[in-house]
Amino acid sequence: MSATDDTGEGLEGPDREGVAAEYALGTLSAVERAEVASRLDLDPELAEAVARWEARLAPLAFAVSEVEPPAGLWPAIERRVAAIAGGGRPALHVVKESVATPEEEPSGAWRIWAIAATIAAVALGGLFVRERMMERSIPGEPLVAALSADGKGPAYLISVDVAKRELTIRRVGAETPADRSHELWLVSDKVGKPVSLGLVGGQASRAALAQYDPATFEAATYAVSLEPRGGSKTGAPTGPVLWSGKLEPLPKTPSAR
Amino acid sequence: MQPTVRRSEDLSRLLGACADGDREAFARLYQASSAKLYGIALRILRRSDLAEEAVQDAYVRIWRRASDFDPARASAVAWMAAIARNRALDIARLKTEAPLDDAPNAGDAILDAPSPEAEAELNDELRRLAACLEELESDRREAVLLAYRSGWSREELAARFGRPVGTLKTWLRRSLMSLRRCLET
Repeated sequence: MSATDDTGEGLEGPDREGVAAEYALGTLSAVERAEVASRLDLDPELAEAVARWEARLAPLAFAVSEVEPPAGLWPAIERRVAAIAGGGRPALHVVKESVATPEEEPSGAWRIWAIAATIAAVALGGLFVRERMMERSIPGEPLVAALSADGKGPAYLISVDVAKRELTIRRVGAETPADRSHELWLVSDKVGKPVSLGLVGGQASRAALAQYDPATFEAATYAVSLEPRGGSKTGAPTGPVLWSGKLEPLPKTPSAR
Repeated sequence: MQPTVRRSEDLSRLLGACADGDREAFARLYQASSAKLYGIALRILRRSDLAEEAVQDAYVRIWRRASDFDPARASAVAWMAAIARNRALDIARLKTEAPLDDAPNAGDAILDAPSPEAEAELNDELRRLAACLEELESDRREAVLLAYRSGWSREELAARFGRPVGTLKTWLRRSLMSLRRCLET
């Protein structure tokens, strides 16, 4: 049974109500959820059906015990909201103004991937402290993401040069079956549907992010799905999402951890 | 945290102020609702780092979309809870292997200790929903509760109940439609 086919039919056919109900319940797969979410802004009828289901079930959510969130959460939210509200971008994303960027040298490039790998290792070890990383990050340095499946080593590493709006993806642990392709997707509710950034066949490849504003691509989730050879024929992910991750700033002194 | 801010008319007003760009109102909205949203996300994700990520993203979205909030459609807290749940579920579904580490009977009780405010405010709605849930067969009710509150996927539920994934999908859809019928009568 293919979950994707179900949703594909369900969203058009008589089963929309069932899809809306399961979206609100939470039992659709990642790909099905992304499909429904991307429709909500364009399909008021579906949005209405989902809103009704959310309202029907909401009393159960209120019955879940409250838990006081950690103190660091509010400052992190405030920083992101300040950036949106135009109160200045957070320091870590300010682009370095100097002309000569040491990161462009081969040794610098190597260093970035070494740090990215360190972040991935630390993140997977459960020691990842986002707040501390943010304080240590260097303005203008790339953002990096480790694409992994829960509890396993990263399959791909991503580095994004915010100033150039350019993404580089490097294979570290992934094997592509001979008859299939790995396709990289940018997933953001600001964009709607997951957008393909291309196939990620080789050791390292680049993708332009020029059409997205930095707030969008910095906060997006990057996901690699398994697709037929040559990539998805539909423009949307059709195979399972194998690995995913979000961008993080580079720590300033990874060796000192 | 003053219980008075929790009342949904106050949350609605705060959301309205957020739509106008009032960051002060946003801070008060966070104060009044974050324990609820974090509790919901933590229950689904079971890891504090992931729950923090979900709630952080949820509040950024609440800020961005505050002008979309329609009090005629849902209460303010229901609207915010849905945003937090959806973000938490997106994160949960992107993990290919979700751990089955919930307590064996995690889904049984319809209420886990609701706050007094929540009880006072939502008693009627919750009681109606609980009565309709009681009409479902017990394993189906448990499946619905595990899915909704603990974020279990069809696959996890199938493993738990020893049934094929397709059967669980049928259970869930039929149960939801029964709930709707029951709530509408």
